Amino acid sequence: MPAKDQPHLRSFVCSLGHELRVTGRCLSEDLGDSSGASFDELANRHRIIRAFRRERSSATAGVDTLSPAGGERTLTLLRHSNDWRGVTWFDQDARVVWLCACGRHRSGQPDDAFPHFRALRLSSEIWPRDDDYEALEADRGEQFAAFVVTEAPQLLARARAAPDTEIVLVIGSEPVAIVVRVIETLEETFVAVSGLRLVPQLFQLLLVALYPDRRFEDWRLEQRLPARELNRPLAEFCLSIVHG
Amino acid sequence: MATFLESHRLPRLFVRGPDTTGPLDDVVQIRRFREDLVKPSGVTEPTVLVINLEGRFPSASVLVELIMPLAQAARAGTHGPLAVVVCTQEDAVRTVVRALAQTHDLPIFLADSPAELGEAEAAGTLTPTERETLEVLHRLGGRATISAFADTTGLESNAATNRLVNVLNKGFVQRVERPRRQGHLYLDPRAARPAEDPADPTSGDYAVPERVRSDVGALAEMQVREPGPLLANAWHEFLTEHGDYLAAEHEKLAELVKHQDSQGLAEVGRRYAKKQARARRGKDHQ
Repeated sequence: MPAKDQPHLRSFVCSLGHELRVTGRCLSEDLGDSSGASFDELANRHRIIRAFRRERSSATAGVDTLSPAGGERTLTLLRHSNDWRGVTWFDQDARVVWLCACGRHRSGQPDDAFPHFRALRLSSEIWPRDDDYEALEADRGEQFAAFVVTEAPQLLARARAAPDTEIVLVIGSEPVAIVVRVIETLEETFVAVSGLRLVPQLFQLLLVALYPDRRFEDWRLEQRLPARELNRPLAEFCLSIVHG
Repeated sequence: MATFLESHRLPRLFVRGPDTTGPLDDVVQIRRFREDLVKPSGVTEPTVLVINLEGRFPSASVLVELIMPLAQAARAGTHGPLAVVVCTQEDAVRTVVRALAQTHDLPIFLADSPAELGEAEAAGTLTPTERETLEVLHRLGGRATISAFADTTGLESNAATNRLVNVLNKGFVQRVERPRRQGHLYLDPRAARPAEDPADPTSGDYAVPERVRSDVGALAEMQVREPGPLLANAWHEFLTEHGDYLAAEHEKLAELVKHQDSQGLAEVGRRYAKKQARARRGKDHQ
């Protein structure tokens, strides 16, 4: 799990392992805001974003769905005070809760949020677009780079405090597993990650963040972790380094 | 045999056109042009040769001299795994090229322009089933193993093999031989990527060697398509094959970390993100 809930760039990174983001369409059309605005800036400017952060950081979906229900993707309602409503969708593959649309709820009025939500769903404009996913990947790359520098040494410290025990921490959105094995005066560190999403540069940055003074050649590819086989379906791979 | 990462690259694309625009009626000159297109040794990896006739108006004799020998070589494999695409917006030229392809049973693709390679028409004699096979391969991003093709179409493995081998034998599909465990890879020439990598000097990866860049791209695409165990093998191969580059990169990253250069670190994070997102969404095939 990430160390704590924290905003980063256009995301709010939750300790449960998911992120909160606003689609580009919702930002520009419903909130009249800029696609470059950070999550923090949005939360300062819009009450519905604060409600989004409050309600979806500890649960990826709300209780009520946007009626009529149906389809593979479920939109759930977000409420703020009497009159603000939003709809969110949890994209399980990307582990992102998207705020897909929001607006004022004025029953019977032409600008009521609910007919707007349904029209967007009907035209499929409600869902995140390719641009939203490109921005997500860019932010995740930056997020990993920003977090790994502080969190990787913390992870290593925890693993050193509990030798032979696998310690896992989600850095950015990537789970990183570390095992430290102590043999007399030497310490051997095993690092395992899933290759399903990680970019090579960021994996290398993880190695550097763990041992900034060591060379790449000092790391060795391993076929397993000390206490278990690698998770092949997750494309898990492992490197180790001896430190004395 | 190509390494696993190499085998995952899409066909290499070369775009060539006669020097002159306007009418083309000098058969000798066009023969010289054609003979210079492919080295006598041919090609060793899947390659797509686009003959760009945009703005040119070849006579029928010139078209025969230019296209026939290349397409015959593509079908027979005498130049290696080579596919031929003719680009033209002239209806008359398209009609002649179609007639050549159908009369002589030649594997020729026709496109309006090199930028529209993805929508190229297979101009030869193909049955509706063979056209459907090409369409499925195209939908799979221009690259599939028998197993992926069978999964998508719901066919048994033997039937999927027959479908792909039929279009392979006609020269409309290319194949990369791989160990049995990984399965041969069938490629749609319309998914080819430029061989002469037009690296963008303003992009973060401009200084990265082409071979590394290609493998980073292949790895990103494999993250979408390949099962975990094969992907893990590809990571091993990447880390082993590019050890020298990674060692040099490691030192640069160590400097950024030691100096707490947050801007430099952010740049590292962003470097491949967009390409990776596009690869994941299957948009990067042109």
